[in-house]
Amino acid sequence: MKRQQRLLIATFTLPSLLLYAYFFLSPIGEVVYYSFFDWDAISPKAFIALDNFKELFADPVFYRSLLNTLHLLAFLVLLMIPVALLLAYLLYTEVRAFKFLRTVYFIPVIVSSVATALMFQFIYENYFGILNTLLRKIGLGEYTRVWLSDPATAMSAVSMPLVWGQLGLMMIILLAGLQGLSPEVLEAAEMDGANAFRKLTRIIIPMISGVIGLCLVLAITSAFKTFDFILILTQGGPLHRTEVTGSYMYSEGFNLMNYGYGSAIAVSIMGIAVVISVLVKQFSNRMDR
Amino acid sequence: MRKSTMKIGVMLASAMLLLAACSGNGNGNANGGNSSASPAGASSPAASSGTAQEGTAKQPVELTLAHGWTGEVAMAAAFEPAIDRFIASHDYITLNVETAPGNGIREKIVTEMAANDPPDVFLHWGARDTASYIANEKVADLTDLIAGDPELEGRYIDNAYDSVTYKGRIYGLPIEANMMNFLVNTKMFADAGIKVPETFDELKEAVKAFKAKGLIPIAANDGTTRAILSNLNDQLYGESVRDRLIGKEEYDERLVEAASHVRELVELGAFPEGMETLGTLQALELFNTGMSPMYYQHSWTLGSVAEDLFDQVEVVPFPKLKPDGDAYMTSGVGYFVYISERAYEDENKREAAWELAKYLAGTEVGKELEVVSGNPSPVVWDRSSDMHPMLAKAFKLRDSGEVKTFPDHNDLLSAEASKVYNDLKTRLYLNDITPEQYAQLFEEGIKNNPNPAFEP
Amino acid sequence: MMTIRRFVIGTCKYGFLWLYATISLFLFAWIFASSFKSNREIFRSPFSLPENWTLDNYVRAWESANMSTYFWNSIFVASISVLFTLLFGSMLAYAIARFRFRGNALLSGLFVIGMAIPLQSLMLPTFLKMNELGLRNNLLSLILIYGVFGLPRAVFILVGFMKSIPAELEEAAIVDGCSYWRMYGKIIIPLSVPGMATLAILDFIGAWNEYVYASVLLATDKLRTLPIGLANFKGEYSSEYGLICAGIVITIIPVVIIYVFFQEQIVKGLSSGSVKG
Repeated sequence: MKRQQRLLIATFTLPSLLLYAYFFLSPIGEVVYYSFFDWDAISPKAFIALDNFKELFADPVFYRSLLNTLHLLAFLVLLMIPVALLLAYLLYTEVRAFKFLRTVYFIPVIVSSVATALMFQFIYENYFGILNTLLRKIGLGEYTRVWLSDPATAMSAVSMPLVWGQLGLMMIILLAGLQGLSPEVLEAAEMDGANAFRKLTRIIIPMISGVIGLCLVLAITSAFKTFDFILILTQGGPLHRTEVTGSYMYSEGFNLMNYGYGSAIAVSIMGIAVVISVLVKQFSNRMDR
Repeated sequence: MRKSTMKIGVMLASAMLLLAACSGNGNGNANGGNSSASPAGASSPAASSGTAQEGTAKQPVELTLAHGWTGEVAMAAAFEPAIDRFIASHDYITLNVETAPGNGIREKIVTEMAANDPPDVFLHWGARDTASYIANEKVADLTDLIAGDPELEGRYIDNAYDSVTYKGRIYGLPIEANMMNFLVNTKMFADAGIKVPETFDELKEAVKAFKAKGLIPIAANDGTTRAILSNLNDQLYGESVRDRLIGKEEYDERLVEAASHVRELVELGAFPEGMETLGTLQALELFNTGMSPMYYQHSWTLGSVAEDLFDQVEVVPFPKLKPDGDAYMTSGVGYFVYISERAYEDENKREAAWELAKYLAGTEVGKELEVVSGNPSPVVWDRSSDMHPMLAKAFKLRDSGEVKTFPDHNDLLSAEASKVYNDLKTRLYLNDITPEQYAQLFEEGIKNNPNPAFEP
Repeated sequence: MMTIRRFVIGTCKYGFLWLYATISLFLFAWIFASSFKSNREIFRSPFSLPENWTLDNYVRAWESANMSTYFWNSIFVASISVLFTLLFGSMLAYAIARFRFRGNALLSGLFVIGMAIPLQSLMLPTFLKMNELGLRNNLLSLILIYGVFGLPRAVFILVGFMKSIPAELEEAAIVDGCSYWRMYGKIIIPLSVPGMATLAILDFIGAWNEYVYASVLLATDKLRTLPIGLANFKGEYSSEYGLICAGIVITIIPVVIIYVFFQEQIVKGLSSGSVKG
């Protein structure tokens, strides 16, 4: 029996484990390994121990990209999740055209990020772009600017497509959380005469904290993972104003062929992402208790 | 539970249907692996005996060609049909064509070189971009093949091999010549009563006048400032700029002067707002749609100038700093056909790859590129009247003796120095550094990153 | 008094709901209208309707850009990789959730930590591996990558799900002499359907949209996926804004149709899985 069970566990786990080890874990090991070398991916590797990391920790562009990644994260956490929650809550309180609205909110989720990035390009374009044209039409012409390049707006501008593209997903998840609440609790709150805002902050949010936690995890991981829309919109430029850790790694590794250095950036991203995930997990565990 | 089982059943079934609908397609792709355009594959050696040019049967051979002249770029119109013709006339060669549009070809070649699986023949920029492939013997040294091939004698303009020469050896066949062309919309100048500028001061006046009319004086993008810097330095230093670019001699305050002139133009509002976010052809669109009267860009964009502007657009020398000084035009050869070392070492492939490379960088394709795509070729041929009209104007100026020519400064720099140059010019026009800082950092960039191509 | 308050609340509510919807709808409408315009028209009057509704841009996008091929490639890669993740992920999750063995915690930790790793950081080693295996420029490479990279999330969601299935069900099944395989197929899988559906949707969307790996691994035109095809419209070498808009519309319409057909399943799938997991 015991042996049979062991065999069984092996058949259930080994195929995935082997594939995972080969295609996921070993590349992680390789990236770590490469980060100790000066390597352009073509010439012979030169072992330089921790020099890549020394250089990295003195590299202003790297810090800039970290700050920009945090900027992106802040947009997701402080803008996307609250708006998604509000939309979910309003949809939850029975509205006309529910299905239509839900569809409109969700469509951006399934639109490919390349298409989303291209669409936002048309919003930000200087001469005929939607935003600047609109500002000129309503007499606010002096507020037009080069959204994707102006130091004050560039990073926010490249964050918006991600917010728009994921908001619908967050909204659906939060709506599901709301629909899972028992109506009695809400009715009781109604009886107390709590106003809508209080009801939302005092009763509803605490009750769906688990789902909000899930949204937070998704937001944090995507802030560190997604940079394809930045590659399409600005490639991290101009002057690294929209550089995030992912795009910096990509441009060092694939455009400039500093593969060893790019790997060192990748290792740092992994480290930071793992630490943040562990922290979030700790935090949400404490919340649950 | 049963209800949800039903539902997943429906979903799975629909997924299966989708799969079934596309599996034919998918399988075809998975097996094909390459877009082998030749119907006569390696499996039908009989076909090769019918090869037109050769009487004897040739060993069937499979080649991979990678290039970036695809999609919307003007060169595709001439180049892709030319490849098809090659395939049709070479039964014994199965040609797999791989493409990556625009600069995507750079990343494609890097990754494939890293994976030690480069295409057999590919198009790329000069030795600046391929230095590490050359140094690591990933691309073939073609010096002896070129010297031993009578077909190539006198085929190209002088100095065509310059920027693909590395430590005295030649690594590619030239396929594209380049110029920097200053285009003016003469109708817009005439309508506004403004003189087409011949000197830099007149350029500034024209900029001011058009700016006052609410137009964008020069349709520029990120690269335009570099072109202007090159031109001004050519004017200020003459031929001696070469030694400075390769670090043999030091620059002086004239480098600051050139940078200051660029800043002057920026401050006058000569360029589109946010030009750092524009692509090359996007900048050209400003010119094409009549929003800009002037345009200064690479010659490969000539084929994308709007047809209805042909009559009113002229190619003129870039304005001169001193009325009695020389006018300059950036002109050189910067794009090449390479053969990978692996294909070169393969006896069977070498000949076919060489034939393909010679064809692509040959007279027939070169003519087509000029006539159809308006893209200058390094091939010497009797340019007839059916030349692309914009290109004809550019050639006329280049060959008129009115301008002196000097190659693209980037082609004399190492890859690292070129990157420094690129960053600095952006910082300069975005007012992140002063002209003095620009000059200092630029010289440091050259000193710290010498070009290995010129080492003995 | 009450009615006024209700009116104000209603206005705010609908105001906000429709404001956000209008922004999205306006963006789509702008792209749609521009897809019929020439550059000159777009420059001159960005907000007006097209002068004439010619399909030129669409014909060009479809012909020169091979959109139909890309579309089927994307469907193929996304569906198979989702099935891959579901099969292997559910087996693995079953073992982790239902059996006690040495290394259980290590195993689940190994996978869950993978959720935090940004996949793009593994690009070059993965590329080299696929090349070694002769899978470069083959859709199978993308299927393997998306499939394997989906496993961490699969373990994360499904283990939680399977742990919540009451053990009594299985005990009863064991008494009936049911093999573990049958139990997996007959009890665990059907009961995990909501979680699997969530997973399937998230993974499908992810694979459908993935751009960076696909751009590095696929070299030939016939094999490209939709995001690559679309990205090709843009860049240094193209500036036909109307054409880009037509390309965007072509990529959006199919997914909108799919969504409209399956919206209940998609929403339910996402909801039930994420709430429990």
